[in-house]
Amino acid sequence: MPAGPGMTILEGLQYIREHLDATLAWRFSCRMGICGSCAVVINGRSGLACNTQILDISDSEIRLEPLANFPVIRDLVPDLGSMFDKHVRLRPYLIRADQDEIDASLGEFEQSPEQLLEFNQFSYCIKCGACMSACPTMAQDAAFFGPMPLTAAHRYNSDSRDQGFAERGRALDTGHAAAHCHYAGECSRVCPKGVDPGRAIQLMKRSLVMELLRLRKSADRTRLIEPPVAQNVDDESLRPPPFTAKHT
Amino acid sequence: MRSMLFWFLNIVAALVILVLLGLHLAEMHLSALWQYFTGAGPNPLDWEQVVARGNSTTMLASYILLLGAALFHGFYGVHNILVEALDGAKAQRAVGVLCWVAGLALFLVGTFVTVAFNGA
Repeated sequence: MPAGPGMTILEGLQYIREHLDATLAWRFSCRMGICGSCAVVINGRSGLACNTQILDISDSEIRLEPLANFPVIRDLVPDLGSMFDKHVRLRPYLIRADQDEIDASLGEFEQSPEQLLEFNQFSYCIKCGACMSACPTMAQDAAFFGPMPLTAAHRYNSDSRDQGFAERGRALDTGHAAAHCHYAGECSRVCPKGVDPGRAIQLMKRSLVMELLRLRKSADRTRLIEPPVAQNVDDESLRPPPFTAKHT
Repeated sequence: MRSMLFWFLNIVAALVILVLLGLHLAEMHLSALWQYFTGAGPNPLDWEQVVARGNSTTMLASYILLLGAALFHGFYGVHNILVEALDGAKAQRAVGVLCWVAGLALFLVGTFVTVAFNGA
């Protein structure tokens, strides 16, 4: 099939369906590396079809396969259900003990830029499953949680607003969680968003061991602050200049 | 947290092995280099030296510590390999029990031999 500069694997797939094989099935949505739907294995390496350009691949032949470590529904469409089941089991959301605050928010939780940096990069995960496909531990042990759910758990464990460390710790204590990671690092290598799941899992191991040794910092590291209140701008110099339409 | 406890003990066992096995290697198999730093002494492989080490309580404790660390480290690895190779929670639990039984049995035998030699 013809390929020109800028043409992505996803566009190649669309070309194939339009001109060569109308039955070809694959999954896609946003076409701009945001939704994570179009993850496939491209010449043995997991990645997004929409942000991989055909001419960037040095091999003369391109072989596309569905994501490994998942059952295949059809052609390039994997069944990601097991990944999302594991994701849910690790409570990927903020857990608070103060139910009153959850039911009727009284303000905002203070968070410093340093506290934000502790989890910020892990929140870029788009749940495409590329890391799960590349993980050699997943290939051996289907019960292993895998890089994506573990990274999500660490993202919330490291959030200063979260109080769910113990609850997630109980869910993680299965023998198929962080301690079982071989640290091959493939997950970090293939992540299309630059998230480093390998690092997240190692940091999670450290925090779990620190918790075991009773050396971990208290989970509750934030406080409720008043929400910002809109203020009237009295200073004339701060007002924007009046808008005047010019007709030519 | 049991899985993390075992993982942490595995790391600790690795460090113990590194130190004790390193000392063993330096003293027994790199004796020229060892004696360069500690001063000339008798050949560590002489029978009298072997017996003296066997009768030393410090050495006895280090032998048992090394035995325990090596067994835990080894069986932790074997357990992980088998758990990955076998499907089913029952089989995986059975592997865990077998590893514990085999490890404890070998530890008891090894400790008995070491202690028995200590009094010889």
